[in-house]
Amino acid sequence: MNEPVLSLRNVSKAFTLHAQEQRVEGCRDVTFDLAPGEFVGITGRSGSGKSTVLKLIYRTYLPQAGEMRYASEAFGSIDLARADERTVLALRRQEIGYVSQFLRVVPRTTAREVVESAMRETGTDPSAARAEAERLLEHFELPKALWESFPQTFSGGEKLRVNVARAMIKRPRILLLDEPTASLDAHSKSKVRALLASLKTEGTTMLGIFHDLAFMEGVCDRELHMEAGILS
Amino acid sequence: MTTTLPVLTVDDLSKRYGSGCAACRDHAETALQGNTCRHCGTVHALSGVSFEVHPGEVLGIVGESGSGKSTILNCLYFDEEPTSGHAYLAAYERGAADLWTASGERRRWIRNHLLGKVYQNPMLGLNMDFSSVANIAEKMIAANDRHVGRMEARARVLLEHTRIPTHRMKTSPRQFSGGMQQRVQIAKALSNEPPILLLDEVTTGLDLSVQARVLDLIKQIRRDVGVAMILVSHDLAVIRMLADRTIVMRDGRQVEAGLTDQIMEDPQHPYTQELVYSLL
Ligand SMILES: Nc1ncnc2c1ncn2[C@@H]1O[C@H](COP(=O)(O)OP(=O)(O)OP(=O)(O)O)[C@@H](O)[C@H]1O
Ligand SMILES: Nc1ncnc2c1ncn2[C@@H]1O[C@H](COP(=O)(O)OP(=O)(O)OP(=O)(O)O)[C@@H](O)[C@H]1O
Ligand SMILES: [Mg+2]
Ligand SMILES: [Mg+2]
Ligand SMILES: [Zn+2]
Repeated sequence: MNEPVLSLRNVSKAFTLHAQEQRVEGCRDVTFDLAPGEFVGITGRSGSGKSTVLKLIYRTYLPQAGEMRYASEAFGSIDLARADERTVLALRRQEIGYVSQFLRVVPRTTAREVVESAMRETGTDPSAARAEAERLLEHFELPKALWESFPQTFSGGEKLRVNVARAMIKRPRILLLDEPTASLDAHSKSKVRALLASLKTEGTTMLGIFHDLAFMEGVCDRELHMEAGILS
Repeated sequence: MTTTLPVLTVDDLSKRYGSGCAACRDHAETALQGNTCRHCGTVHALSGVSFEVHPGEVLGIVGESGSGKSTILNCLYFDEEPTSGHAYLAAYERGAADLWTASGERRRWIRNHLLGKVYQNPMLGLNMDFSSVANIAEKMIAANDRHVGRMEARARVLLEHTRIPTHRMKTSPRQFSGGMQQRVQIAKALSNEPPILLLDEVTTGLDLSVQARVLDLIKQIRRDVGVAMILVSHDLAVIRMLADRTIVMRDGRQVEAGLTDQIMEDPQHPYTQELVYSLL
């Protein structure tokens, strides 16, 4: 049996909202393993804590309790819950990708630049990064006319294709997907599915949330179900 | 985990305006209202600020007006004398010597060779009686490069890089728009290829479209030159766009520090929550 790439043990997160004097539970005692190359889906109602789990792994949320043991290529076995910020930044550049529903980019950055610069961050030379960016944009059938335009003005589906291309171009070892197909039409969805499948053959480990259950069943090896912050 | 030396280390920096009294020196918490002592009126502009900047990293500093953001950069650029604290640059004596104990002459050398600064107010960062080319040449002369042809060529490359039209390079930046002035300041700050840039509110007061062009430039420098930066701004959108890590300042103190997306999406401190959620 292969060692897991990622294992979460009793990971908990609650948000303290000071002004409202409120404590909101995000997730509690989440425990699971991801084997190398495995594609796991997370299901559950709105507010059940699915995105919280992904954001904890990516460290957008600060974990409170538990361990997130990751077998890093660069750093060996590390606990993401306690890794220092520089290490997290290095992992985000090289090993861990995140695709959300929303594309957040610097204004006045063209679609091609958005995708290309993600790859340049990993140290790839500009011409190779550019060629790969163009290959992916073509794969996702983003109209050529849009390559040199700014994604701010794109439709939801066009933005998302840029977003997915940006995360995938680095060939991260782990890819976290938070509803990456939410605003896509059937044709674009099938494109994303093809790319996910090819990433899987390349050995990428993936953890994804998809509101389209049929889509999820088509791509995932197994599913985790969340209810009120707890994995059931 | 990673072992390279930080480009810059700041350790326990404090800056007071005024001599302080027993009350504010020993019981700052109760003696101060905001950053000012109720008893003696001393302004505690910075109290015990510590941070590191790593190679190629952009460190954001946010906080409301008067929180001490500019004072941090002013102390680092030797425009202000800190009351106490230490600072180390990897490029200066391999990070072993405190910048703030260096002699006046050493300080000038550090400033001219190892630092670049963009001032909030272009009047402070540029000599308006000189042309843009001369402003940049001046910084290079200060850094001991006296080859006129080479200086001018480099100045032109930098100004081109920052998209100042060729036919305007020989004129004073006095007549430039705010955005162009900031771009000349950036070109000047880059002229000695410093390991770190200090940027104080580079986009404040500029029109949105002009802001975007300046942000573009910073992003491009970050990608192509890989120089580390401290980016001071009260604009969270600017910080979110450009900073890898962020420090939140209030009344001269660091209230929170973390990965920029974490500060924005999962702020811990009540003050940071107020700051972030007030903008949603
Ligand atoms: N940054 C945050 N600050 C405060 N509370 C949060 C934050 N993020 C999530 N929560 C809360 O944590 C709980 C779980 O939210 P989460 O976003 O993980 O749900 P989800 O399962 O992804 O839902 P959806 O399907 O609607 O996206 C919710 O009650 C939510 O309000
Ligand atoms: N020469 C001085 N004498 C007295 N107080 C001063 C002096 N210079 C600055 N201060 C005070 O130090 C504090 C920090 O000022 P600083 O300029 O660093 O704030 P800032 O965070 O940059 O604010 P802004 O966003 O308005 O630029 C303020 O309370 C300011 O009034
Ligand atoms: Mg969600
Ligand atoms: Mg200021
Ligand atoms: Zn006092």
